[in-house]
Amino acid sequence: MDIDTSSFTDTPRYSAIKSLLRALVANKKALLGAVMLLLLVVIGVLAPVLAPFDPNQTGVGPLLSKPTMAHLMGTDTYGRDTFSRLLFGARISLLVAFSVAIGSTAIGVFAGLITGYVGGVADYLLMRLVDVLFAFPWVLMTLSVATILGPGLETVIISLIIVYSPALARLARSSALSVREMQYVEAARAVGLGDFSIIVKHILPNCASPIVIQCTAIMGYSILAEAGISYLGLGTQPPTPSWGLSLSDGTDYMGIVPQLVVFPGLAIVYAVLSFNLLGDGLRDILDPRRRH
Amino acid sequence: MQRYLLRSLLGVIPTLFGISVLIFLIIHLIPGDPVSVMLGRVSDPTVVAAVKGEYGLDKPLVAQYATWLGHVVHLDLGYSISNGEPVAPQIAERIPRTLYLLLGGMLLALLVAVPTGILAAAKHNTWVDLGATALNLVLMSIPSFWFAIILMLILAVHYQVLPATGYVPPEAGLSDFFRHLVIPCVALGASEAGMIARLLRSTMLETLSQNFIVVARAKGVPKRRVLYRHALRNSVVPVVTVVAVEIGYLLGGSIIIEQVFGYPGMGLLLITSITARDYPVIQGTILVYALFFLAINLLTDLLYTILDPRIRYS
Repeated sequence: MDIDTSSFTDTPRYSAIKSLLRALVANKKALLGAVMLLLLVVIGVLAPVLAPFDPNQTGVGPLLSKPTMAHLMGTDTYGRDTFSRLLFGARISLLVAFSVAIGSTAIGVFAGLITGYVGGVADYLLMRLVDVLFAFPWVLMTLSVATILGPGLETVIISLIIVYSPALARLARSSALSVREMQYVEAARAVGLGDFSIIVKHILPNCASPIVIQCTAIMGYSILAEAGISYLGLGTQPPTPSWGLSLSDGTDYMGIVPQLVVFPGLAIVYAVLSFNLLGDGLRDILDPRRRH
Repeated sequence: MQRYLLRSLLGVIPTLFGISVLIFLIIHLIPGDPVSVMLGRVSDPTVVAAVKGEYGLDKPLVAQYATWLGHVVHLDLGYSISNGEPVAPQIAERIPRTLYLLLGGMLLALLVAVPTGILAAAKHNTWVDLGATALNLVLMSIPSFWFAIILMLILAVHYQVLPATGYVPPEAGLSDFFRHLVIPCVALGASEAGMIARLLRSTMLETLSQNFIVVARAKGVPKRRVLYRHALRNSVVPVVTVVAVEIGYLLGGSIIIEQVFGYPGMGLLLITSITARDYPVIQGTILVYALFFLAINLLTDLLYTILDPRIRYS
């Protein structure tokens, strides 16, 4: 029996995705940001193929050499190929960006939605906790966590999740507060829909757009933060090829081989700029005030 | 206005309490016995007993917190494990140095951001606007510590017009004092400038589309006056909010900048104490940073009432 599948592609969800993609392509900032990000992801995924050398292998070239055909960005103080380390560094940055975005969204949005919907003491306590966490600049929080857990990539990710969850919690909470009193929510309760279903089906979609926009910003900030903490020696540990760590290693020799500080920095700027462009473009597309 | 201020002050109390609890818990969250954490390798039973007695470390956690808070209120932040000196004077000596860096960075950021934001809004949808927007996005994407390294490379290492590292107190010579601050403050303020300019442009565009601006223009008010007297004045309140939040980011950024330049402020003290596992210094420094950030937020609340009379009377 032939099944008519034409209606499958006309569902509201599919149409919404199509129109979002069309809007993404039409918005120059979003398109540029998406292309830049895609390129970064491809580089990260294909790093083992693209890199001419093992990023941790020492002595593949002369120590602190300038760029040559064999070593496009020169070598560092251990004779490691800088270009290879830069390519593999993309993996670390993307890992941090996506881990922090996913972790802070899961915790922050969940907490904000539940407490905003339930209200009362739970809501009050969450907001006081958010106020306390907001009183800690991100570096302080990361350094505090590093003091407790010791330095490392996991420490950076955990501390950044703690730093960025409050902003998402506030966003989700304000959405829950505005939607929970709506008549259609009351109607949903009247027909027997459970609180969890109401939160997932009615409240969460209302805050999806600002959450997506906030997540792209968080991803960009996370890359900056990881680079900064690794530069201080409290983030990614050697010999992992983090861009921040490469900057730290190269600072002492920048007078002789400036490319050791120039290229990792440019890589960080590129990555963060791609997220900023994408976030800006998404804000133009998804923010109803900007649309009108 | 007094009621507004009182409300703001009362609102800070639960946050202060939460911050003090978190900072107090830092030592207790570290794996191991808090006494050995505080004293390092010292194992003399007399010293251990004395520390336990003084800080009540053999009592329940709540009692320990009360003892610690009592010490903090009397400005006793304990003694450094590294050098045995009291922590509070070490921090107090460095507070002005970090403040110079923060204020210098924010001042430079505002000096760049305000004209850029106004220009971009006034020349909306032109090449000037596009260029300013692109510049702001790039500035926001630059890590301040990397920008600091690049400026150091060019200005201090290559051209040698400014010093690379260090600090000179103002009483030793204003010229040297400012010369040592230029590169760190420029590096610190650059990404803030991008953020603030972007926001100012956005709020000014919103304000410029309001009816009262149309009326002002229709009445023949000069464009410059409309821009500065009407649009800018009404756009400044949200920018003040962001500036307050950004000072928090600057606080964080200054820690890394101080490390880059070997600048002897609170940030460098914090980093060296973490490396040395000097927990009383870590606790004391983080506490001062958090209190400072809270104070900035309170001052911002006060500034609102001056900038927007509607808040005063609401």
